[in-house]
Amino acid sequence: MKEGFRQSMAWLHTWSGLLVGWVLFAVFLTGTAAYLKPEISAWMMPELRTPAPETPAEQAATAQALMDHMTRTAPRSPAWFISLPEAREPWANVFWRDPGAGGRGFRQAVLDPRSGEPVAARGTRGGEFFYRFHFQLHYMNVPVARWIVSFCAMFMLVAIVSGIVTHKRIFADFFTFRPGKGHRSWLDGHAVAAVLALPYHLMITYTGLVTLMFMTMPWGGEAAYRGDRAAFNTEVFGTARPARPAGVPAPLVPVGPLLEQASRHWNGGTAGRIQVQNPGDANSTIQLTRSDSERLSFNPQIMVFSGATGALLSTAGDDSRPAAETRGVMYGLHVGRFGGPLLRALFLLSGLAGTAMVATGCVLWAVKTRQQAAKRGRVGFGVRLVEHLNVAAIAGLPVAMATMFWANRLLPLDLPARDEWEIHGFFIAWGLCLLHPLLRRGRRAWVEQFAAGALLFGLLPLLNALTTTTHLGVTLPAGDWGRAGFDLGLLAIGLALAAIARIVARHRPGAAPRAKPGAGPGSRPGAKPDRASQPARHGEPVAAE
Amino acid sequence: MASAAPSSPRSGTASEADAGAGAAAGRRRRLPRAPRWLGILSRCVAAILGGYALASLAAIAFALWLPAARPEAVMTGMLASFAIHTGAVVWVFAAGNAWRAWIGLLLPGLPLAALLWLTGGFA
Repeated sequence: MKEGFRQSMAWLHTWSGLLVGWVLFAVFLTGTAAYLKPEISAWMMPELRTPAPETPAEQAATAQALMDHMTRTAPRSPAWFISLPEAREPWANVFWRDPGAGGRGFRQAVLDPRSGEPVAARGTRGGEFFYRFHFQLHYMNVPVARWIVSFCAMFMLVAIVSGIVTHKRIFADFFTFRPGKGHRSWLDGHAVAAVLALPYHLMITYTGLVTLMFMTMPWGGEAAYRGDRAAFNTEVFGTARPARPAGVPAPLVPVGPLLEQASRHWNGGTAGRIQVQNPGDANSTIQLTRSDSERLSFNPQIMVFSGATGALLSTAGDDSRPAAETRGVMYGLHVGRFGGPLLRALFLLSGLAGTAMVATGCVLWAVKTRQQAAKRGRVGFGVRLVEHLNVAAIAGLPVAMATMFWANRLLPLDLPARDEWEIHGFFIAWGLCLLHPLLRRGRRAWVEQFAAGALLFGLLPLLNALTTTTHLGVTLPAGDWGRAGFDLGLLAIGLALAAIARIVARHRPGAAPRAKPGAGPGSRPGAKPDRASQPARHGEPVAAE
Repeated sequence: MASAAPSSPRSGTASEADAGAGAAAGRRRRLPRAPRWLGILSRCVAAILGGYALASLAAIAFALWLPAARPEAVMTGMLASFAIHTGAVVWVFAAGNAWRAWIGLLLPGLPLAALLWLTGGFA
């Protein structure tokens, strides 16, 4: 019975992982990149040079400058949303409602962290694109896309749980790696990537589902609140219903004293966001939300003031109850904005391990299935399809990501909808990677796409030096480690991809005695070994078919 | 070990391979005489839709019956629902055959739904 259970879990693990593996790979890799959202945005907006305000007095001055700017440019807007500059994000992002604007009725601007004036930054989504893509894809209806990603995340959770059951020797396999042994090596690599960061994989998948649970699992709320969404939002999120404008003009009070009061209330914490409803009206409110980089829990701490008098109207999030706090902590763990650079680096590495886990899993399936198919002498369409998609997803996505960085530097600054074109560049490159394996089969497709990714990433610091004044030649002598580190990181990614391309190109499936030619990056799908591309090296015999 | 890759003699398409994998996983032929792909399809429906329905029922039960403040009860149900869904999926594919898989979902699901309906939970 026990073996039967393990076998059925092995089946479940294989199929739940494979069927959505390519989506999961993209979600994992772009989600990992999203840990560096502020750094990516900073790199993509080289025009931003002003450092963020540091002292409370400077922060208050900045906040007031931003409010003044909004009062001048959007006095009739029903709501402003201002995210204050922080050390990692030394600029202010502002959104405001404008019934005249297209789409969802918002306008947006990037403001200088000192003067509060608009910055002449190039049109770009920056790191926001990877962050958004990892849970709502692109070119798609947002709720539909979030449902798709949630659906795939559920498969991931099932794959992890069934994978743990399947895995008999979880501890022993941790120390097991058998390189050059065909599918055994892929199995070991898959297990190492999975086991190494197993708590992280479980955590990130479950908490990812939790971040979207109000959309995917609303039934408890519907039943308990009888469909009264407003009451639900008020009780669950502690956000009051926005008051109706009184129609009586009243200027906004200075925001500095409110920030000071909030900081006292939060024992020295600082506000990260300001939200203003009905600005310029007697019924206006100013809502301060504590910066989410200061706490593990994502359960927002909020203070709401009257915009006309400055009187404190309400506070929320100070005394979280268990379930709300559990959700807050799960959310906070998922987005990983708390903690110092070391913890974020660990999250980044774990995210890469998760990406590698998905990738090796997909390749493992193709290698094993092709071996079995080769024994029967016929390789079916299913195997070829999986192999093709593996190349396009795993090797193609880095090419697409690098292409977006190139587009950021090369597209003309006055191009209309420039930010959209950077993203079109990402998808055009990815689309080409999807077509490329039709022309170049098997291992060559892997090698060429990894090599392309290596070149694109590795040359980015050079491109940066040719197109901006914040390149390594300047940032290294100046000790600007933030910017220099990003350029060096791009170079490191390029070198890593080059190393992978080299390993794949040199790998001969024949290296493993008795192993049949596989179908992973280390092999080619032809029924016979291609001697031109697999010369016998070091006097080793080429494996017989 | 993810060693259940399909070994179907006719793994032509992905769906055929799907059916073949069932043979690999369950060499002992636990599934009834119905075509193997039908059993797998039935299990997939049970796992995805049936599991979601069971998780939703449990979330509603938590929201209505948990002796806690209303938002707390609602959120507890939501947080737990994904674990319940995962458990349901594991059960569906561990069960001896597709019929048992469905029965295993309906056994807790139907009484729960009936109780919720009787107490006005769906009103």
